Amino acid sequence: MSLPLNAWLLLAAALFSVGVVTVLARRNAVAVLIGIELMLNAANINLVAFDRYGADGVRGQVFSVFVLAIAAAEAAVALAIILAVFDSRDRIDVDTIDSLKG
Amino acid sequence: MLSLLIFLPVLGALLCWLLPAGQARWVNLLANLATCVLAGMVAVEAAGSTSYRLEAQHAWIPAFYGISYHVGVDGFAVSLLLLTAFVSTLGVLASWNIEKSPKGYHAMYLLLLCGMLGVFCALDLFLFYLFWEVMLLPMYFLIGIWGGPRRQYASIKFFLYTLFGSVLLLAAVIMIVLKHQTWSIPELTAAAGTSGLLGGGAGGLALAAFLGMFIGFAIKIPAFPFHTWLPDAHVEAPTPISMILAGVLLKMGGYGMMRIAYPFFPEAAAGMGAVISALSVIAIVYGALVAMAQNDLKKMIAYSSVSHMGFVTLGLAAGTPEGLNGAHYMMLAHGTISAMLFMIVGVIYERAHHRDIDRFGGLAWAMPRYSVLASFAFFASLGLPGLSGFIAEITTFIGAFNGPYKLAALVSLLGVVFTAAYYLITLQKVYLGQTPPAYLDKAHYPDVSARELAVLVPLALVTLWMGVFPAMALDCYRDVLNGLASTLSAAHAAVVAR
Amino acid sequence: MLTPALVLLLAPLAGFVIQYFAGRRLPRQGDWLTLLTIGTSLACAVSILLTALAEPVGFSHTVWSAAWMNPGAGDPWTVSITIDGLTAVMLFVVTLVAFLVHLFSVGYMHGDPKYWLFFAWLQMFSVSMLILVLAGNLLHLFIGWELVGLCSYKLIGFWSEKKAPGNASRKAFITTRIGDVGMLVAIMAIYAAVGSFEFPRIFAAAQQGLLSDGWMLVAALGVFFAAVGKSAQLPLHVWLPDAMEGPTPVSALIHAATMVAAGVYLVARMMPIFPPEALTVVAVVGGVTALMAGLIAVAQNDIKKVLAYSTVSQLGYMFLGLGCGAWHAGLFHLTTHAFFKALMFLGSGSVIHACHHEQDMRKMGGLLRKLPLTGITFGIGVLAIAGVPFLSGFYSKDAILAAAWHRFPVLFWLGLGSALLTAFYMTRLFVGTFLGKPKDQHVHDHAHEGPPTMTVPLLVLAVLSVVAGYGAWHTDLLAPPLGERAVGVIQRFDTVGDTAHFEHSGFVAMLATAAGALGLLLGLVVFRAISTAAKDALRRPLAPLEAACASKFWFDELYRDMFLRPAYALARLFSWSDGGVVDGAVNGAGALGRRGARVSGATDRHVVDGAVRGSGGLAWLLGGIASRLQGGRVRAYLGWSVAAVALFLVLRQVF
Repeated sequence: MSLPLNAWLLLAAALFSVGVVTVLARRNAVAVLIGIELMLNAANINLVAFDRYGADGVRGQVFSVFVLAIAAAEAAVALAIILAVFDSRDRIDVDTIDSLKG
Repeated sequence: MLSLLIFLPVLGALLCWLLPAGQARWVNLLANLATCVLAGMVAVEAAGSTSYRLEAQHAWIPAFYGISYHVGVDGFAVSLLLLTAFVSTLGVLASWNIEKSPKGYHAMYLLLLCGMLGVFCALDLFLFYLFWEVMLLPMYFLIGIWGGPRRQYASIKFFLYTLFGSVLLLAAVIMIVLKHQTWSIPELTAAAGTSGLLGGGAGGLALAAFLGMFIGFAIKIPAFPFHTWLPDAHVEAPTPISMILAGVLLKMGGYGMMRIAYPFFPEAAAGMGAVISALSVIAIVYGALVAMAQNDLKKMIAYSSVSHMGFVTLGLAAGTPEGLNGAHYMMLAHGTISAMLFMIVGVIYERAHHRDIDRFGGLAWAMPRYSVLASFAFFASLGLPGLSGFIAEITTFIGAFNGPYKLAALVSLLGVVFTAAYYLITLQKVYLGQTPPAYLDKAHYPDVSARELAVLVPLALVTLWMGVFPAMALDCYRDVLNGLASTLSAAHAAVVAR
Repeated sequence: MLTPALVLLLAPLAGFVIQYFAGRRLPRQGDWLTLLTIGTSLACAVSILLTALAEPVGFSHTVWSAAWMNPGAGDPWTVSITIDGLTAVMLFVVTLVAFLVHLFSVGYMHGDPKYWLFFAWLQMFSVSMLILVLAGNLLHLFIGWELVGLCSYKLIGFWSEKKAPGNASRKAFITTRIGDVGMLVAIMAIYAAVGSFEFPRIFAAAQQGLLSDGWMLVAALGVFFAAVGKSAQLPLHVWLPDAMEGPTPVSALIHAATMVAAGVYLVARMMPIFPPEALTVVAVVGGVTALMAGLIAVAQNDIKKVLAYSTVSQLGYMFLGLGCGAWHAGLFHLTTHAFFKALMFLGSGSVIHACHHEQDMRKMGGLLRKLPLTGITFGIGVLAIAGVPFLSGFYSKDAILAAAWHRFPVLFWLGLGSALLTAFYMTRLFVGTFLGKPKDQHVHDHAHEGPPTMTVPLLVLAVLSVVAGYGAWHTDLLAPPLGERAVGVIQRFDTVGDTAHFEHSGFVAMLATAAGALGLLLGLVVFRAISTAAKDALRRPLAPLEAACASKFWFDELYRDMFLRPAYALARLFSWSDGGVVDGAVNGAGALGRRGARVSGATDRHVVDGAVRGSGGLAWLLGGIASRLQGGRVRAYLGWSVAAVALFLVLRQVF
């Protein structure tokens, strides 16, 4: 029962990479959102792992709970935006949404 | 007194600017009338005098070869002062109904008057040049703002042309002042003697400076081939400004020649006599022929000015007493006659809103008084005896023939025939013939109003008076120009001897 | 002498001023006023004439002279009044004809809308003509000379609302002005040599040789050229026939009796400066004009045109006389011609008035019964001009022919030919108008004699046409003034032959009478006696000549193509070039200046400014590149961030 810290970090790194690739490769806005969730949770794993192998207290775990809550809120807002975009454009392909262009 | 005369219009211009717009024209009229009175008083003092009267001199920029405020008039200058005051006053009446920013117009008008009076009074070259330029700007604005459709082109052309002349004049003035260390016109004239400034003679520096001055003044006169600004400026300028332009401004060129260019460089002038005579003849004949081909009434009269001012340079080039006196008489006669002619164009333009000779006809029945005045002016301009133009022409012809360039005098006689031709053709096309019914409509084609009569009749009376009793106008300036004539003939003899 | 001369001059001047400005408002539009003033002048002229007759030979006075202006360094130019025998005669002729024409116009111009104005200009003309005649110097004479031209212009174009009178008046003024160039040349040449315009001083200078031979010839020809213009001689005769567009009284006064004769007067006045060569020119021009105008007159149908060409022809006669050195004969003919030609013009005016402004004689005929007085007086005029013995024209014409016989025999035959022609065309005119059957019944029916104001002048002139040739008045008064004979070139005439003995050549008188009689007879035969068929047969061989005469020898066409069109073309060319070339040169210089300015401006912009602008440009360029990154696509942003993180990580590993 003593997996080394590196194993957790490797898992988190893999998960983060999967998220990054998802965000970069998928055009579907929902998929992009899922990719973001993956990256956030990869960070959560890191936080919890450092807390477990780290020194005192439960600060890492508290941070991860915060991250979860913020992720939920973020997902809600993002989904609402995606819905609004879908309503106005009939599609949710993020490449066609370039109104941020300066 | 002269300073008061010169700067009274400036005071008027300030008042125009301060008072409500509706009163500007009254201020202008009053200022002009006061100028007339003052000019009359000056004339009483200085008419016929060969020396400068009413002189006033104050040091101004002593460090720079003693530039001073120096004014004074002799009989020659005073004749032009009178002309200026007279034509300018009538010009105010002609501009009575200016509607576009009257304040600015009348203020500019008075500034222009100041410049013109100043030029004829100045006895200091610097002051002369200053007034010469002062007059330029108001003229530019008066044409450029209150002019016709192509006013900007015309005003810029006028400005550039005149400025070009001014630069040459300035260059000559600087040469003279650097050499002779004084700005005083009387002193320089005395220094010139019968030979000339800048070493004298008919070549070298003297010739260069003379040519600079000659071209500077010739542009103003305007002499062929420097005349092309004139038709454009006249066509675009409002009626009163055309009157001033033809009546006074052109005379400043002749004044400059007789007061400065010729007395300063008599031998250089004598050396150039043949060229100047030839240019004058071309101006007379060519101007008349070009006038004959015009369809715009105002342009025709502008070219007739070119033709008539050719007489001025013709008389000058001859350098005989009759030539000079005739030339100056032409300036005075043309000053009044051309002012009248431009007013006549203005009257009909106000009613018909065009100036095409071919589109008029039969006005004699529609506007009898106007037509009588018009034919009076036409005949005066074509040199009918009893009117001032005749005295000027015959004296100039005789003077030119008495001088060294007889052939020029003979060829210029052709101008007499062409002048008669274009005036009579115009007279017939515009005033005679069948009257179209449109002209009989009194609402659109009323005969001359009282105000218009007030402009035209004094001009006509002066023209008649100068034609029947020429001695009075002539004696005003004769002795001055006879003096110049003797200088010039001595210079001519010297050039021929060499 | 001063008082009558001044009154003579000032009365019509006052008449003009009042009439011009107030005539319309006066009762009867002021015609009585002008009659009064010109009548006063006539009275003065008669008194001067009587004085002159009492003191006949060598009568010459400068009665008034005043400085006018002094534009030169020498003596002032003056206005002066000189009266000698010639002046006295001219004053009488001018004021008498003027008075009669005024009187005639009361009837003739009745009902014209500008009645008052007509009289005003008649007055002004009288003043101008009197100024001309009274002038004691050349400049003063020139003033009158030009003023009569103005009045002629105004009166020819009196009905200027119509096109033809407008054109005719313009043509008259400009053509005479071409002649005036000659006058100006003469004035200039004379003043340059003499320094004065006074006649006595000019003649004295000519005598003393102050005026070199060359310039004297130039001055003389200049004076003659002016006379050619005014008196409608070849080649400037074209204006006079056209001038008939004016009202007929004007034609009688100005274009028959006075103004056109002013040219003859001028040459006579200036005769002392005419060298023999110039006199030859005068004689030749006069003789040729007399014949040519006579030929043209034969082919005209307008009665006024016939009279106009007849006037040209008779004026040619006068110049022939003067050119032959017969000062007296030329002026004598001037006087008699003034009477009978004015008579005929007024007679034609009476006819025209009667026929309601019909002037074509092909529509007249048989008017003698309708207009007996006009017809008879007109007939007297015809006989007088034809040179029938014992009428005035006989004596004056005979004198001229006698002079020509002695001086230029060739010109004598020309003169004789035109005497024949004169009689011939005048007969044609009289027959066509007054005899035969009426050709236009309508015109004929309405014809009626004018009021007494129109018939009295005819009677007076008819009497004068008969008696003017008698007595010794003309030999006394029209002899060259003694003073001029003493100093002037008139002495040269004596080498040619004394003027006095010209007049007593019986042979010449016989020839002249025969020519006149032949002309009358031929005219009667051709136009009265023979049938139309015979006339046609007669005409056929002469057809080319007739065509040439009818078209006035194509002078108008010639001048149009030779002078008018080129002048207009030149005017248009210059007008174009003034905008294109002269102005273009100036504009071109301006454009060159602008181009130069543009070059220096470009240097300024690209080199100096370039450095400044270059840095800005670089920033702009980089900004452009950077902004490419911001495509607005979120994934791209993310990609760049990942790449950047990756880059940093790699860099961290490397360093």
